[in-house]
Amino acid sequence: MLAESRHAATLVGSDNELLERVAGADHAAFTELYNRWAGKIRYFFLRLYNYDYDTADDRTQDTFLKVLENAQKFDHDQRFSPWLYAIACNLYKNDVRRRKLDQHFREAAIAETTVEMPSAERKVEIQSSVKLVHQYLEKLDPEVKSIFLLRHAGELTIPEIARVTGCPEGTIKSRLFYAMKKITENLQPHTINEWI
Amino acid sequence: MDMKSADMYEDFEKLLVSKEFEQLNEAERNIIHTYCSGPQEYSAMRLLMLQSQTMAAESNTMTPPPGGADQVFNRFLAQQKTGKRVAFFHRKTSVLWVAGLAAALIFSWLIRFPIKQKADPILIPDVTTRLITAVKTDTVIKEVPVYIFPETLDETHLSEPTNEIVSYGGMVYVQSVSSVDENKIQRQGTNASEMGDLAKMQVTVY
Repeated sequence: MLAESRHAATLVGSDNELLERVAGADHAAFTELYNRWAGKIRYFFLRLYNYDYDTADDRTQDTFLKVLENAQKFDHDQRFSPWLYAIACNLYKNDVRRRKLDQHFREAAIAETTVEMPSAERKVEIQSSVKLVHQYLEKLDPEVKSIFLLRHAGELTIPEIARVTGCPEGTIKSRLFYAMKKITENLQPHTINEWI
Repeated sequence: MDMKSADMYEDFEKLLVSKEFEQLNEAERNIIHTYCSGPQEYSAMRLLMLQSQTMAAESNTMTPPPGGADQVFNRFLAQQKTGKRVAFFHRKTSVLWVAGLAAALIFSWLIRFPIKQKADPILIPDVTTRLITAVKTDTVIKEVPVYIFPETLDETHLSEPTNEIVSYGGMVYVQSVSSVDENKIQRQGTNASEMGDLAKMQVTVY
């Protein structure tokens, strides 16, 4: 009974409170934090890696391993989610940097984006309502795509994205606008008419 | 995007999400026209914004990766024990491999382009070899007898010694000695101080 109530106590509390306990290697607090955020981070990586589930899952676990390693360094005056997304973004940037060395990989990734679609099972899991928009989003430059996802999937504010990416707020705004412009330019007029 | 447009970007996003083009008032349309050309583009952007909002909802329904928190936590503990970072299953490259590759690249670079560092200049003096023969000085140069024949000297020709060295010519008869046993008086007056005195003395011999 006591154990149950103790376990229940880990389920309440803000992310920052849980992270404070994670800094002391509290397994239950970490599990709670993981259950709250791992799905969102996984989704973020899935979109970034064009539905490559293996890579997305690896990077999600890498992100939470970093959370465990760096929990003591977290500034508790900040929100938890921008810090978490900053870790995820850095891992993605490292991958992009590595993959940029291999032009062949890049071309293959673009080809994969345009030709291959997620399997039927994964389609059900993602339940995306507008696949076309998602396809165009995947063609964006990796940095622009990550900013767009931080804004709309991660629901971060523009100042938070600026902190996460290390770019000025003006740059973030212009990249968000550029992403929007690029996607809508790619859409055929009949598609827009269908929407309207 | 200029500064003014950047400042209004968040207002633009809010309008896209909240209003159809027809619902915009004059001031709002002015904001919109800094970003898009007309109603059709506005509508396309509005639909994109609305669809993008669904991404947040989709991410909330996404399940965590298989393995869960326990797998990550156990890896963290294993890492703490060994002091080394434990790679996840799908990781294809190890840190050591990358470090080795980097070292090999640096090494090959150094071989190909060795560091050309300028050395400090060395000053080489212009040395001329000169043969120097050591001279052993001696106060006594040589003992030689000086025979002065005072009976033959005309006193009128014997001047007082002066500091001025004036030579009048003449001759001093010097006879070498063969041994120290010879008459001592015959061997007088040829050490260094006497040489000075001799130089000052003028002797005229006819």
